[in-house]
Amino acid sequence: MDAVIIGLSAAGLSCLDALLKFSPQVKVTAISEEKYSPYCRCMLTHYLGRIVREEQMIIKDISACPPNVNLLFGEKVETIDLLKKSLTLSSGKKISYDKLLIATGANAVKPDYYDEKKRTFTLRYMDDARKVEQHIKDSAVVLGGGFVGIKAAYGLLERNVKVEMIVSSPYPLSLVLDEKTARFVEKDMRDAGIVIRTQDDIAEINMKKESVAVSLKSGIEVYSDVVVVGKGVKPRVDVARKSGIKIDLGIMVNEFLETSAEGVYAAGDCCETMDVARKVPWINAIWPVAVEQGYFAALNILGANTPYAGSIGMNSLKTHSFHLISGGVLKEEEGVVLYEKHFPHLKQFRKLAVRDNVPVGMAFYNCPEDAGLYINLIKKGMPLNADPVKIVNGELSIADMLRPF
Amino acid sequence: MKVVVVKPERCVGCLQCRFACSVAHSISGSPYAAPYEAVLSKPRIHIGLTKDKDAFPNKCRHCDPAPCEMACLPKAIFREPSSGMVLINPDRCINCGMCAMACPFGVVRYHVYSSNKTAAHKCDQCIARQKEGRVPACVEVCKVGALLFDDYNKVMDRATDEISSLVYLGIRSKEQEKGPYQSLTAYKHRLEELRRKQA
Amino acid sequence: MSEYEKLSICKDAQLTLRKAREDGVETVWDRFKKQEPQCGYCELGVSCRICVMGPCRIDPFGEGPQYGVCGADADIIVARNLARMIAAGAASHSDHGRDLVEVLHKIGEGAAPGYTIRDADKLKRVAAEYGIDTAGLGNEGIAKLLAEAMMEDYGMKKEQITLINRAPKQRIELWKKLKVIPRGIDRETSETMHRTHMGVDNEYVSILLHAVRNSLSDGYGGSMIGTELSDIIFGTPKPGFSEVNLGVLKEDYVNILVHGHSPVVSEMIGVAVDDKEMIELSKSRGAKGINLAGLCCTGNEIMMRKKIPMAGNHLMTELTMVTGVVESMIVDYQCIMPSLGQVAQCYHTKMYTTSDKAKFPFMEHVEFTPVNAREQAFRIVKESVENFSRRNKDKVYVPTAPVRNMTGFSVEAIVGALGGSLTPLIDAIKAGKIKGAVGVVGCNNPKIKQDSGHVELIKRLIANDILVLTTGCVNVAAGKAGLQVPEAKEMAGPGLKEVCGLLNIPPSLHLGSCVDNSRIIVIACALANAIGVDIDKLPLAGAAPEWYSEKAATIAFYAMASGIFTVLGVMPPIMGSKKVAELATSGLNDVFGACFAVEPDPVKAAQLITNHIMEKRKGLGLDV
Repeated sequence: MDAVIIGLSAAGLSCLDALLKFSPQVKVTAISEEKYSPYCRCMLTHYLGRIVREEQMIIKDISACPPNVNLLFGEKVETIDLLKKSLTLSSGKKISYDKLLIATGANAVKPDYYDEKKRTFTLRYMDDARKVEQHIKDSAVVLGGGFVGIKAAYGLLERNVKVEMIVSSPYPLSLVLDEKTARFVEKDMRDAGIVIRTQDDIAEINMKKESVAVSLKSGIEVYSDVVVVGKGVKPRVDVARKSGIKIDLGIMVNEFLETSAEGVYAAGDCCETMDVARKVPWINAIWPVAVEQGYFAALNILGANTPYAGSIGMNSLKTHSFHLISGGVLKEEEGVVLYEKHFPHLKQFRKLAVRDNVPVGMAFYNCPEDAGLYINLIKKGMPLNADPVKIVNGELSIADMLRPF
Repeated sequence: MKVVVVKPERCVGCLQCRFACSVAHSISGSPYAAPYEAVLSKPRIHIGLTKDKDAFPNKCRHCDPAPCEMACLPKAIFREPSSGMVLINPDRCINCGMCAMACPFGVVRYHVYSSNKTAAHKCDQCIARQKEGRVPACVEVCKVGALLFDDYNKVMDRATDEISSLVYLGIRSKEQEKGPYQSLTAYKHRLEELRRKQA
Repeated sequence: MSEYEKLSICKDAQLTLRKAREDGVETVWDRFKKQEPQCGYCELGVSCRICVMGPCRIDPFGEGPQYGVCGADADIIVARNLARMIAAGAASHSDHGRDLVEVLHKIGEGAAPGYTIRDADKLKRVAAEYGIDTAGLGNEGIAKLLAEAMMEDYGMKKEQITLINRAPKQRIELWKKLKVIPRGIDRETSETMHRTHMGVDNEYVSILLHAVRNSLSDGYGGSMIGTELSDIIFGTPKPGFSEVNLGVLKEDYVNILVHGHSPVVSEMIGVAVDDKEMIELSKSRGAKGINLAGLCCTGNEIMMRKKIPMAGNHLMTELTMVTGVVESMIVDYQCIMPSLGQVAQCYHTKMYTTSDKAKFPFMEHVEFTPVNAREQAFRIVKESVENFSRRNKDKVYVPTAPVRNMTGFSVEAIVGALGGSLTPLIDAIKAGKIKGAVGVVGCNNPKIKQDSGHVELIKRLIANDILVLTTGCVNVAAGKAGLQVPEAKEMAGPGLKEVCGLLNIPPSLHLGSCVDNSRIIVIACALANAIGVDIDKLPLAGAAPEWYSEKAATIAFYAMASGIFTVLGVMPPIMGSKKVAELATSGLNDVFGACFAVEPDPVKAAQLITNHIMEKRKGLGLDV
C-alpha cells in the first residue's frame, strides 16, 4: 500500500508516526511546503520570547526515518486526481496513492490593512517569526485577543518588549470564555504590564520614520516597531475543493475521518469534525486535536476502522502568574446551566457548563490538577454523576470522580 | 510490561510513597540530604482525599496512546521505546500546560527541576531504579499493599480468579475487601456523616 | 561474604544467626528488614502525634503541608520530639536510680533482707556531699538519711540537684547563666512533657534548652545516683578478669541469664546460684553446676562487681537462646526486646519478668521487691535447675570459646591504679603519652553491622594514643575483639602502650553499664577541677557509634552540655528542621563549647575525634 500525506505539521506528522508505529514497513510519501524540518508552530511565540531556540522547535528528526518513508520538502500539491488516485506537484512530478491524507492545515486570517511593508505580520510560519524578529526593537502592537494573540503578547514580554494589545470585543478570549473568567485573565495581563485596549480596532497603519503608526478606530494613535496580527485562522482547502472533495467550513469527513472521496482522509486544521460540546460540525484548529485526528486517520488508513468521536475546543494558557485551562462552550444558552466559584485567597476560579448532566464547557483558573478530568469528560460527552456545585466548590476532588467505589 | 498498580482501598494515607518518591528523584538519593538540596525534589505520586476522607493514591498510568504525549507541543513527552514508559524531557518542555489539560487523571504538575528549569513533572515509574533491578520507590515503601509493581493483566487475572473462587464457594462478600483498617475507616465515615448532618 | 557476615562482625553472632534461620527463629535483623525502608517523616523528626488534632507531618520537600494542625512548623515539631526523646531517656535512668534509692532506704529501715552496705566509705563520702552529719550514725542510719536526701533530689524541694556540684565552677556558672541547672530529677522530665504539650513552649531554642536541663537531671541526677548507690549497696568495682561472648554458656551446666539494667535483681540471683544446696540440686539433675551469665547492662553491673561473664550485648539477646543451653532468662527492665518470649517458645528456656514496671508476653512474672528478693531468687534458680532436664540435646550449639575481658574500672579503681590521684594521668596527657580520652558508649543498632562501629573506632583511637572508656553494650563489643585485656596494649600507639604496660591495664577500660556513664562525667569533672579549667577545654570526646535508645540521646545531651564533643553513628531524628540540625552540629558550640557530629563511618569518626582532641590540646598549650 502506498500512503501519501499532504502537510507535515501536527496532523501529518502524527499520522506518519502512527503509520510507522503500527505498520513499520508501510510505504509513505509525505509532502511539505516548508523548507524546514517539521517544527511546532505553536512555539513561534516562545521563539519570539527567546524561550526556545530555532533548533529546539524541531519536533521530528527526519534523518531517523526508515527508507520506506519518502519526505518531500518545499513541494506544493497542485491537483489531486481522485479517479486515477494520483497527485500532481508544483514541480510537475506525479505521485500515485492508495490512501491519501490531506493535512493542509490553515492559514492565518489577514485583515485589509495587512501589509508586510508596513511591518504588519501574522504569526503562522517560521518565516513570519523571522520577519517580526528582524524589525522588532522594544515595542509591538498585538491585534486580537484570542489565545494566539495573548501567547504572542506574553512571548514578546519575555523579550522585554512593550506590548499594546488591541481587542475588538469588550474583553480578551471572548470567543471561548465567559466574561467573568476572561476578566481574570485580563487583570493578570495588565498586571504583567501589557496595555490592553478593548472594543477598539485598527483603522489604518502607516510608516512614520522608523516607527509603525497604528491609528485606531477610537482615534488613538499608537507607535510601535511591528504589528502582530492574531485574528484567527481559515482552513486551507483549495486543492481539496479543486479536486471535487466536499467542503463545508472545512473538508467534510465521516466518523472515520474519510472525505467524500474514497481512500482520501483529512485531519487537522483543514478538517471539519463533530464538535462534541456544540453538537454541530466544527473546526477546532488546535494542535492537540490535529495530533489526535492524525493518529485516528492513520488507524483508519491502515484499515483498523476506528471511529473518531469528535473534538472540542480547548486550550491551556500558562504564564508566570496563572494557569488557565478551558474547554468546550461556556456561553449561556438554552438548556445549559453554568456553575462557578471563585476563591480569591487561593486565586482560584472554577466554572462548569452542564447540559442534561453532561458537562459541555469548563474553565479552571489555577487548578490544573482537576482540569484534565473535566476536559476529557466534555470531550467524551460523558455524564458527571456528581453535583456540579460541589465540583466547582472544590468539595469533590478528582479522587471522588476516579475512585471506583 | 510491569506497571505500578494502585489498590486505593488499601491506602491508609501515610504519604510514605510521596516521601520515597521525592528522595528517589533527588540528586543525593538520601532522605537526610534530599531536603537540603538547592532545588527540592517534588513527589510524583499524589494522595487525593475523597469526600468520605478516604485516601486515593493517584499517579501516571503511562497510557497508550497517551493524551499528554499527543498534546505536548515540543514533543517533550515521549514514550521510551524499551520500557514503554511515558517520560518527560524537561529540557524540551516549554511549560505550556497542555499536558495537564490533556491528562484525564490529573497527575501532571509543574515544578522546578534541579537544572533550575520549570517543566512538567510526573511519574517516570522509577526508570533509573528499574535499570538497577529495583522496584519503584513508592512500591518499595508501601507497607499496606496499596501499590504493587506487576503486570497489570496478571493483577486483574488474580482478582478475577479470587472473585470466581469466592462465587464458586458461595461467598458473596469478602470482609478483607473493605480494607485493613475497617474500624478506623468506619469511624472516619461516621465522623464525616455527622459533619454533613450538622452542616 | 555470607549474609550473616554482613550483619555482625562477631563470629558467635554469625554462627547462631545461621542456626536461628534453620530453627525458624525470627530475629531483630529479620524484623528490621521488614520495616525497611523506614518512615522518612519520622526519620527526619517531622511527624508529630502529640495530640489528636493530628497526627501531622511536615513535607520536607515543600509541596505539602508546612505546618501541623496546631500551627507548629518543622522546627517546633523536631524540637518537641527531641525533647520528649530526652525526657524518656532521663526518666528511664532516673527511675532505675530511684529503685536503688528505695533499696537504700529499706536497708536504712532494716527491711531489705539480703541487701547490705558493701562500701561504707563511699556511703559516708556521698553522705558528706549531701551535707549529712554522719557523726554517731551507723551505716543504716546514714543510709536512711542519704536515701531521704536523694528523694528530695527527685522532688521539688531544692533549687538544684545536689551532685551537680561535682561539675567545675565555670560550667555551673554557664549553666546558671543559661538557666539550665536542673532543679529536681522528676521535675525536669515532667516539665518537658508539659512544655511539649500542644500550646506551651513553641520556641525551638527554649524547648531544647529545657531538654538540656532535663538531660543534666539524668547525668548529674538519676544516673549518678544510680551508679553511686549501686556501688554503696553492691560494692565499688575493682579491676579483675572475666569473659565474654556466647562461649561463656556451658553445655554441661545449668545456664541462667540475667538481662536488663538493674543490679537489684541480678545480685540476688548471683547469691542463689552460689548456694551449695542449689549446686547440689543441679548435680542431682545431671549438670555439673550452675552457670550465671549476664546480658546488656545488668550483665555489665555484675561483671564489674562480681566478674560474672557476659554472653552478649543488645543484638545478642535473642541469639543466646538459639544455643539451646539457656535454662532460664531473668529480665528486669530496659532494652529487653518484646520478642524474647517468642524466641524462648522455640527452645526450652524459661523466661521470668521481675519488675512490676516491665511485663512481657510469654514470660512468667515473679515480682522482686527489696523485701522478698532473696526468696524469689531462690525460687527462680530452683525452677531453672529443674528445667535442665527439658533441654533438647539436638538443639544444643555453643558456637565459640569465650574471650578474656578485664573489667571493674570504677573511678575509685582508676584512681587506685594511678596510685591514689589523677595526677599521673594528667601528667601522661600533658606529656602527650596519652593524647586524650574518649568515652565510647551506647548500644547496638541493626542499622549498623553489629559491633563494627564500636570496634573499628576503638582500634583507631587507641592507635592514636587516645585512652578509651567503655560502658554499656560497647564493653562486650570491645571485649569480644580482645581490646580489653592488658595485652591489647600492642594495638595502642607507643605512648598509650607505655602507660598501659606500666599500670598493667588495657587501652580500653570498662567503666560499667549505661547508667555508669556518670563515671565518665565524674572523671571529666575531676580532671577539669584538677587542672583548673572547664571541661570543654579538655582533650575529651564522646562517641555513640551504634546507639539506638532514648537513653543514649539523653546521655549524648548531658555529655554535650558538660562540654564534651560527641560523635553519633546513627542520625538522630532532627534533620527535618534545618535550624535544629544546624544548632546541634555547630550552633551549640558557641553556647556549651561542644556540639554533635553524625558520622556512621568509624574511620572518619576516629579522624573527627582525633582532630578534635588535637585542637583541645593546642588550646591547652600541649604538644600535638
